[in-house]
Amino acid sequence: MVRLILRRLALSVPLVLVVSMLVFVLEALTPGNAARSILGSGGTQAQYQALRRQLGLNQPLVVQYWHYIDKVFHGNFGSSLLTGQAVTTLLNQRLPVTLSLIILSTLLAAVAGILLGTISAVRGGVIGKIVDVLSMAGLALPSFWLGLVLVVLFAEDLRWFPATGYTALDVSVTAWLRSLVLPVIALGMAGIAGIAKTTRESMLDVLSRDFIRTLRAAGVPENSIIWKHALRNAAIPVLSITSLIFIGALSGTVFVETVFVLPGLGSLLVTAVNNHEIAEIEGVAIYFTLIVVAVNLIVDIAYGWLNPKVRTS
Amino acid sequence: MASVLVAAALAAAACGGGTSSSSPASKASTRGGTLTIASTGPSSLNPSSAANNAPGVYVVLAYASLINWTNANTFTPGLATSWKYVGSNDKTFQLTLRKGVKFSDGEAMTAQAVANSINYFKKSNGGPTGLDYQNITATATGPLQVTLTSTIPDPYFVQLCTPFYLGGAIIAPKGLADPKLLQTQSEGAGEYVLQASQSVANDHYTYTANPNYYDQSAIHYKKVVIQVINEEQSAVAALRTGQIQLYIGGSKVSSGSVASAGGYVLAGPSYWVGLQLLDWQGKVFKPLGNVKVRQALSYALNRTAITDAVFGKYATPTAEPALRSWAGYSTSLSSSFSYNPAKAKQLLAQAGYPGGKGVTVPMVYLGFSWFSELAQAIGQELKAVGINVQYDPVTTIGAMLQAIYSGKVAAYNIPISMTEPYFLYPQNFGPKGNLNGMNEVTPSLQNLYDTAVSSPSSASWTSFLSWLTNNAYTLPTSIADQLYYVANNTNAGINAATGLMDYTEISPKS
Repeated sequence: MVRLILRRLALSVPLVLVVSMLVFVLEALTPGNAARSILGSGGTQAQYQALRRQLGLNQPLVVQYWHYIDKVFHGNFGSSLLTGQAVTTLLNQRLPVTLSLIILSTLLAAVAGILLGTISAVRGGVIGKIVDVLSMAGLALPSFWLGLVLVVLFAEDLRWFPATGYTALDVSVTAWLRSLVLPVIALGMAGIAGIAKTTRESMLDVLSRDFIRTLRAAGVPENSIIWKHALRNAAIPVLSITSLIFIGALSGTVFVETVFVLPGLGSLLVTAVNNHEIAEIEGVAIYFTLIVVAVNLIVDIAYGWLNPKVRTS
Repeated sequence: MASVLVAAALAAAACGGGTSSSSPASKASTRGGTLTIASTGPSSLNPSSAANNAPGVYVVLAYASLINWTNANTFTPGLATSWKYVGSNDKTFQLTLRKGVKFSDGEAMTAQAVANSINYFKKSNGGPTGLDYQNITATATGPLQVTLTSTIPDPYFVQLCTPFYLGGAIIAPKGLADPKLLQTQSEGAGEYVLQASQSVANDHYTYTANPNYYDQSAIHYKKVVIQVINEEQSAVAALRTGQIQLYIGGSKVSSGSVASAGGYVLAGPSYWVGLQLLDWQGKVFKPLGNVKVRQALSYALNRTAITDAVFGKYATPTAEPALRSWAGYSTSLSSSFSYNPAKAKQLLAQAGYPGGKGVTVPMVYLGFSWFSELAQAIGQELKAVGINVQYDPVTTIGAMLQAIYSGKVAAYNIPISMTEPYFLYPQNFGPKGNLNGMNEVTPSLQNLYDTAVSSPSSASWTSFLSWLTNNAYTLPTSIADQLYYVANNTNAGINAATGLMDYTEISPKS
């Protein structure tokens, strides 16, 4: 287990390097730069050139990148060019919001998906088809559009939830939950279909195995067979798809945080890209990469718990 | 118009002398709780680099200005209680400061502090209004007297001392000593103080009432929160659920739903927009150096249809680069270049480009919202007379400016506000102007400008604008409104001449 963790952490270093390099190059290719963002429509050309030199933007890309990554490896993620705030401060302020969003949305997708997939596998027939259609509907609905519809219905018309904004957990648990209900649904709906479908197929496979017949013959209650024995054996592919959905939700936060005005990493990324704040863009990319690494590690550990054969191999 | 404005300023000065601490307009006697305003994010919290106009709310709340420009379009005392031009030629302007004013950190405001703030603003030359102060130097000429001197006649000293031009927003010595502080906290003498600990950059900014503000009765709220909301629909939803009381922005798309959301719309003409050309001398795009080609472009535009399609009822068509309240504005000029594609084709043929062959207009524009719609509408009209239009959408002002200076685009669209002809020329057409991407200067236009500056009158500015319009150096299509959505439980108003709002006049309805 310790070897696994250390190996994963070691692999994350080149991964972070590759991602940060790609992001750096892509950002450099976009029109505009930080000096233009700072001066806006004011400032003369001479001021722009001076600021460009001051920010090091006139240096070759490789040199700029080296300066940046060297600082990162010394624990300095840089600071915002427009606000002067340390990027780590900005990121750590917003990380809990994004984590709350993607964890809760993945939980919603997992619970609903497993439930629907299991019912579909066990009942089959018309009920199974209805469940299939419902879960596919969730996949077809774009989260941006769904978010707007949810706001109109549940916030504006029914006034059950706020339309925008976020309340921190330490301020009020109830308000925190209320501020996340609609964004979580908007983000989580798409994941339900994938999990439901995988659960269904995996459960059908497990339920057809000999050990299930043996359990039934032994008089084990059907509910126990399905929810305890079969589901556990069907869990590995479900876990895989759930982890992919969790990772996919990271990109979904860009839209959802914008619509619901949540101060998370996704909305920070949008602003940073608009302002050519390379340090902030890199910071978000690195944080996202580390989240992906952590998720993969947790999934690997979970595999081992679910299937001892995987553990020993 | 300039002389009218100067007269108004002098009249206000005569009325505004003395040390009265009364506020510019009627104020609610009871301070409300929290006012939440939705707006796009700040380009900077430092007044010297901040955006002015509507997004200037971030500065206006925390930085009091020398002179207030009220919603009733009057100039009233702010940090200065009286002001006047001295000498001749509008080159010297004197302000008498209010006694007993303190900055938010408790330090007393002095004439030297005010002079230093204005000079710092000029030297920084950031933001959209920095260029407007480049000819001005501020000097403390008494314990409570500041004198502004300009190297050229400047009939706009009063306006430049108001919040809308930002230079009049006075920064405390503490902020000038370490300008980096100004990126995250406020160091002004305004009604409110930014609370950095209660703010999250680019999400929300919390301001609390300034206990050191010189007129406590003028403060209407205990707290003001500016929530950054970039999506119009999200802002309307927040208005409907009572989460905000004011949204700075809006368009014909969402304005119809404001009433049902429990609010009302305020709108006033605030900027002109259209297609601004770059290469008038034809150095890169040879056809554009021919006045007949440029005039053809102007005749090709159906300004009425474009304005209606893009802005609905919130704009009026115009061919003149000026708002109605600006010096030199003329109704006849505004309605010149009536849509006439046949004439456009005729002019192109006369210029040696029959059917528009050989005329290419690469155009850079912001690729979202009405900017994109406007660019597409203009492009279609030009294509209809045979001109080859190349679209270059970008997503940020920075990218647009980069394109403007690249020498690869011939035109762009940026809304122009708070830029009377006196400021328009240096910015767009003068040597090294911010938006003069190819740095082309036309002596005859320069002469007209110099004449209008040295002998300002409505007629001289009309001559300047006539030359610009008739030579099609710029192709405005619309004078557009700035919109605000206000909750029904909130009092707010706008200046009908500028379309802008004095945010300090907002108050809760009892």
